[in-house]
Amino acid sequence: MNASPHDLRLRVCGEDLCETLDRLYELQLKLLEVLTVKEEALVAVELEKLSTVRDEEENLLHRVVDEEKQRLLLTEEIGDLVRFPRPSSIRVADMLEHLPGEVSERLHESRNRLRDSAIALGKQNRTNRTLIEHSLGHIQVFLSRLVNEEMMGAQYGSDGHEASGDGGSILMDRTG
Amino acid sequence: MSLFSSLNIARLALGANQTAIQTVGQNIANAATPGYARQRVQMTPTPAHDMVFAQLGTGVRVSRIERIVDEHLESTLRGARSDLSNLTEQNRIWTLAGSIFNDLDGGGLSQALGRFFDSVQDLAVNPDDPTARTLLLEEGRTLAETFHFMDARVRDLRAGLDEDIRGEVLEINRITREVSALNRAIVSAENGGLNGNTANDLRTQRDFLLGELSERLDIRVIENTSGGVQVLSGSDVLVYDGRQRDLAITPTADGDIAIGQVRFADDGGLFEAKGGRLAALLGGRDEVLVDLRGELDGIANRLISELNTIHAGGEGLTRLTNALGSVAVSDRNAALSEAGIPFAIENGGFTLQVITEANGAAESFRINVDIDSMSVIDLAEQINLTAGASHSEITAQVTADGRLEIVSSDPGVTFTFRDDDSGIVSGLGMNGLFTGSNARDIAISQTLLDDPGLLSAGRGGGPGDNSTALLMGGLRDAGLFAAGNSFEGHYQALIGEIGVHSAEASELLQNQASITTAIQNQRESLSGVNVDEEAIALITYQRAFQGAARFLNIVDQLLETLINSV
Repeated sequence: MNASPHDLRLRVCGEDLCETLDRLYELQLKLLEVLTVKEEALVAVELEKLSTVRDEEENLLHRVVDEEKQRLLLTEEIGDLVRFPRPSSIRVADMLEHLPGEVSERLHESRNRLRDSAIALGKQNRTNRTLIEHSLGHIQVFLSRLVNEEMMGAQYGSDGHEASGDGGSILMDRTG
Repeated sequence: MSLFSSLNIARLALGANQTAIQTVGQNIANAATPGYARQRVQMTPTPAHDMVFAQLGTGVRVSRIERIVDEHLESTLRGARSDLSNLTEQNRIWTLAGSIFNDLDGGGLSQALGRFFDSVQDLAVNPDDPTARTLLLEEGRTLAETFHFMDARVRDLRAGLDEDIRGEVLEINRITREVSALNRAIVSAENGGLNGNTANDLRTQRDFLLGELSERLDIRVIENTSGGVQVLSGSDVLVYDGRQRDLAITPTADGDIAIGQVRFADDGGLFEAKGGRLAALLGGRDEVLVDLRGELDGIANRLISELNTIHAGGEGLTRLTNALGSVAVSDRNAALSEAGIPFAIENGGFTLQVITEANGAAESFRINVDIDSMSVIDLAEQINLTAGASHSEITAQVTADGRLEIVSSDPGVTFTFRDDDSGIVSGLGMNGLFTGSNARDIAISQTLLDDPGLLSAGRGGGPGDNSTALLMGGLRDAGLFAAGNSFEGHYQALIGEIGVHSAEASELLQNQASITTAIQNQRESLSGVNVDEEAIALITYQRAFQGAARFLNIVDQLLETLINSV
């Protein structure tokens, strides 16, 4: 029995989404490694290493963002194909029942791996955040003993942006 | 990775990172602390764990915080500081000594000697003039007071140095006690050396104290494997690990003043300072000022001796009916050479001339003197056996306090001394111009002050006889001292010598100050804290951490989006 164009498109989109999630997974692993190195550099206050790590992190995040764009496009298309009420909001778990068996199985597996790595990545990011916030507070205390605030120039928040400014983000809005 | 592992990594990370930043803060806080050695953190990663996704680190730990110190440089600096404080003190002592002996204000010994000999010259011109006699006695009194004043200032300076020495000993004991206490604390903190040199702040405190101690003494510091140090001065151990040997001051009479000797408190052994301020103070008190006082005494003694020798053989407007020696022997029965006579005497003798004033008849009696076999009582007896035998009015006796006295019971029978080649007449202070024997007790004879007519200007030549005054005046230019120097010449040479020592000390001090500064700069460049450098380090940390913070939110947002949509 020949598959309908709708089914064929759904299968292709599902397979493409699997590949996108796998690439995201690979990128996340690399990012996790970089964030671990970043923690070591923060702890030992190794400025050169920190600079290198920051470049690597930015590069990886650009690639992750590109893959995210692809994932969002595929997710929305699959949502359309399965007539999800708000196609852009469909989760992988929601689309599994609509996909052919082997594609569904592979997507499920990719989704689980990606989720686990994302959780690990989140943990590492939280560790780094705590470390950075604490250290900046500490540095601020010692610096305030030495120089006037005016001399210290702009003040920065823990997100790396000027406290009074509106820093840009390389992350595109989820809606594109 | 377990929750415990994550928390542990965070704990280790925070601790290590804080230590690194705090160390910079500690350096800044102590930038102005003398002797502080800057510190740097050394970190070691803890072993990594193999995880499903990757090999993850388990954190980092601070392996040590090291003080940036070069022990050889510290030792060299201690030696330089010791030399510097020694030379500073030497320079101060020579400057103070110079201020006592200088004649720049016109009130010094040179001027007093000059005015005195001028008055002797005046007496030679007018030997019978009562005013000239009074003037000479007044100038003599001024000269004696000048000696007293200078002697008192030398003694005061010596007493001041003695006080300084006592203060130094107290400080040395305080420091060695603190060093030994720090030794105990360091050995305990470093677990007897098993933890490495980690008690940085305690070590910095100890180094600071050792620096202070080196200014007071020349010390050697030997560190034991346990972390404690031995402190030696010469071969004497002052601190050994947690114990110290206290120094003590033992009061000792030194001539007419009491000084404190520096000894070990435990066994009473004499402590010989090898360098630093204490050695300079001891050298100043026990050598420089003793020598200078000796020089001053030498000038006074020679002046008394030479003038008295001449004066004793002369005659005044009236001759003697009573001569009481101003020098008391220490033992009336001891041989003259052993009787503590403070002037040079030798075997020989003198002539006692007895004059019957009514007819001018003079009879001479030679008194032989053997200083090794005769006591002052023997001398009095010989006078009585010779002159006394012919002139019953003349009697000699020794007072209870050991002074020879010759008395004529008849005012019409007088006596004079002649041809004393033994020095015993002036040695015993008979018919002397001055009494005393040194700078402290020199004085114009009270007998002459009471009756200036007794001042010898002539030698029995009648009115206008100035022979004795001329002889006394001749002493002004007589080469009585080394290199043929006169009194004034010798004193000027002494002032010159003090000036040379002072200039030498000043020059050495300047050189040593340059050397010490150079070593201190070397030490500062290695161990000192540059606040700008540390501040830049902090600002650099701040910028780096702010940069590192930049992607935190992005990662969080990405992950949130991802987890929500998968």
